[in-house]
Amino acid sequence: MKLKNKINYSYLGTYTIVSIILLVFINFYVISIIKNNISSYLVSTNHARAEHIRTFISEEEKISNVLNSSLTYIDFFKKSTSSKEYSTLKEEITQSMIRIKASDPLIYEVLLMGLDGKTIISTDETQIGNDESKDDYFIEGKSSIFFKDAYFMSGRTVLSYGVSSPIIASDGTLLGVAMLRFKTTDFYSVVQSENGLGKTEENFLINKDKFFITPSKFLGTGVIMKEKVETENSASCFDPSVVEYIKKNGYSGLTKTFGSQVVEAKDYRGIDVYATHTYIPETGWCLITKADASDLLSFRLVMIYIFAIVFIIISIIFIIFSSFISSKVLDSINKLIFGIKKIEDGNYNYKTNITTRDEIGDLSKAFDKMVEMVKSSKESFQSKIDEQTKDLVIKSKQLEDQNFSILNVLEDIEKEKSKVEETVNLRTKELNEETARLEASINSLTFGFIVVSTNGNIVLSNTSLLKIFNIDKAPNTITEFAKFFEKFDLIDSYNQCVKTQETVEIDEVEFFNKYLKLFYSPIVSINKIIDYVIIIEDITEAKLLTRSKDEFFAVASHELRTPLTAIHGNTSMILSSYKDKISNNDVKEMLEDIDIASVRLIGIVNAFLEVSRLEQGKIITKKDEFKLQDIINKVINDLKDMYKKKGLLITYNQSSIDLPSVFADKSQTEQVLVNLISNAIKYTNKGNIVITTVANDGFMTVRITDTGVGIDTRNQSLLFRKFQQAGSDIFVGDYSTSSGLGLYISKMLVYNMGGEIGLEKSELGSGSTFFFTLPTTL
Amino acid sequence: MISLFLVEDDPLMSRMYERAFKTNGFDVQMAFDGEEAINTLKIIDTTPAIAVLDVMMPKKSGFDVLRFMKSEEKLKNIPVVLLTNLSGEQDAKKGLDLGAMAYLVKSNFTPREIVDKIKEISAAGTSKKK
Repeated sequence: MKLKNKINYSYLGTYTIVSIILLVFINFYVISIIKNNISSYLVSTNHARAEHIRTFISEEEKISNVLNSSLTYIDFFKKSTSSKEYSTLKEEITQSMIRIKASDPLIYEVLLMGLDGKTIISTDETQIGNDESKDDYFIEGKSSIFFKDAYFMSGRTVLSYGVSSPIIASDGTLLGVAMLRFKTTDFYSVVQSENGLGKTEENFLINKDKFFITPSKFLGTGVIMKEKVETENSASCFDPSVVEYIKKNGYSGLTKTFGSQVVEAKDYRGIDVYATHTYIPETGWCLITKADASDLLSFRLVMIYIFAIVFIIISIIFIIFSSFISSKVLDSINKLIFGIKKIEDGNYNYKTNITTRDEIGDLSKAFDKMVEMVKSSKESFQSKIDEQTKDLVIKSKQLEDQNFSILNVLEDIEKEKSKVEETVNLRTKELNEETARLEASINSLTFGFIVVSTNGNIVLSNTSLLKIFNIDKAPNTITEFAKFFEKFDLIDSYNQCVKTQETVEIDEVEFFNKYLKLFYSPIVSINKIIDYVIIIEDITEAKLLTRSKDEFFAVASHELRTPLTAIHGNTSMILSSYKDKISNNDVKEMLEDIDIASVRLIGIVNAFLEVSRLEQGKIITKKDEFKLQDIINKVINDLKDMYKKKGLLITYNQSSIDLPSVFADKSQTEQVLVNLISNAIKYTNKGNIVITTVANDGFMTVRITDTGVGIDTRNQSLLFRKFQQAGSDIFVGDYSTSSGLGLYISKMLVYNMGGEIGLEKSELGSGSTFFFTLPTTL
Repeated sequence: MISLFLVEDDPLMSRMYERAFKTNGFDVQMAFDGEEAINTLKIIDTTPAIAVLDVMMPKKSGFDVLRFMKSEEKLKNIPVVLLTNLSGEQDAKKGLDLGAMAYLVKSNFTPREIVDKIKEISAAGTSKKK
């Protein structure tokens, strides 16, 4: 339905607009045509009537002339008034005048006036004897033909006009004045006849003073000589130039010269009219022709009405027509829609079957074909489904059979299952206990414990880890854990462990204000590495302890040295430079003892300091290539006094002449040699000390064998430790150091140089053999 | 008489060494801390033949004095021996790097031994000058 309406509305809209435009156009066109017609008609009718009136007037003038020239009148005037001839002539003339009047219906009255202005003869007896000497027609009529404009004669209701002329004798003397009078009512028929401009057409005459001299159609006869017509029309009628032209040329060429003279103006009633005018030169009157504008243009309204009716009719025709057409089209479309709906509902056999030879017909054909295709594919699809359904039925049967057998098996399994469950529960309980134990142990460890799986996830950690790192929750991956350390590359050492599959130790790692020691170790299970364990030990306290201990040692040693130096320095100066000042031997000996004591003390302090520096790693081993034999010989020489005083013998046996050089710190090596050899001297009271050097396997082995007191087996293990002295029961005078640190220092030094040191053998009472090794250069 | 400039803050030490040097033919001029040493050296007319400086001193250390001496035109050629009770090898190296002739640990030598060493060095210094 909507489509039809759309078409209708759009067409009607266009049609209406076009019609309105046409209407407006026609309106103006028609009006202008009408106006033209009106104009030309007005003018022609006006002129025609004016001419008609003019003919009347000219005729009247003729009559006046005729009258004038009659001799009878002249004779009359010659006779005296008392004579018999006078009355006979008077009677004659009167009769003749009556005859003249009767011959022309236009004549109203004929009269004759004497020189005194009194009416002598008249067709109206009542007029005789009237004094008209003052009237302009008498006065003017004495000299020439005079037109007397319309006027009401005194005592009369008739409006008349006249023509007077002088009666002149043959000798040219004036005898009297003759006058003809006419009625204006004679013009009424000319003026008042209607002719084609409708009911409102009016013609009337006005005189030179603009008074009505014929009745107004609308106001009646009362307006005659009483009402003036002051309109645009009346004004332009008496236009001097027009008047001048008409007097000369009449009406021919008037319109050409002055234009149409038709005005659209208000008339004496104030109503819009179309009017025209003509001046009548003989009388000085104006003939006005007019008709109401509305009346004239009423034609226009009629046109509009007709137009509207035509419009409506055409519209109705169109609506009917378009409805018919569109319903035809819509019908087809509806059929199509109906068909589609049918197919939607599932009826694939329905054909829309529109056979019209247009686009809709084509659409219908194509649509029906498509439906056909869908139907056939659906059918083939359906058959496939049916086949498959058949297969499925068979299969499901098979499955059912299988089900039965499975159920039997399941029953057996159920029985087994409950047995297994029992065992599992038991084992789980044991496992849980085990786990709890392990967990408790792990958590009780003071060091941090992490187990990392091979994919980098942290699977286990203990509470100590949280404490050490001051965290609430353990990290999830090794990568997360590595982020805790700013400078230390945890992943690097972890990867080292992974790569080498061996334990990796990192001695010192900084973590904020803590020092940590890390161990990485792989966890092996059935020859396969399953995880890695990382142990984190907080060594802050131990380190700080060592450090403070070391610092203490250094400071203490340094502070001790100064007074010790003063003591030793002064005593030695006294004993050397001021020896002669000391007379008393006891005093000298006492000073000597003081000196010795101070030297010992200094030695002890030095040893302490050295140990502390060795342990801090502050002693730098300056490795060098040198011949060990040279150092040994030097030391032997330096200690000459010491062993000679005890009556001992020292021999040095090189194993061969060509001994390789050693690669070690020269002064430290010397220190070690001094320590060992002076120990040998100290602990040997008689006999000899033998030193050997043997080179093999990249090392030089130095052996110092003495024939001294030897060392008890019990004490042998205490030898290289701090502050332990072997042979602690034995008091031997004159020790340069008895700090108990000598061997310890030697051990540290030798180890720093990459060698080894130890007691090879010892026997109480027989003696001891100490050895140390140093790397050789090849 | 060899002129010697000795700087030592500890009275025990200063007295001992002053005595030692004086009784061994040295003309000793003393200062008791680093700042005093520098000020004295600034206004000194006759420069000493040798300077013996303790390292650990208040106000300014022996190293500071040594550095000052090496920066002064008329002092930089004076041989300097550093005396100390610090036995650190780094300290010895530092002293020798700064231009000292020797770095001696007090407690290891008797005053006499030190005097002999000074005599050796100053002799070498004068011979060098020649």
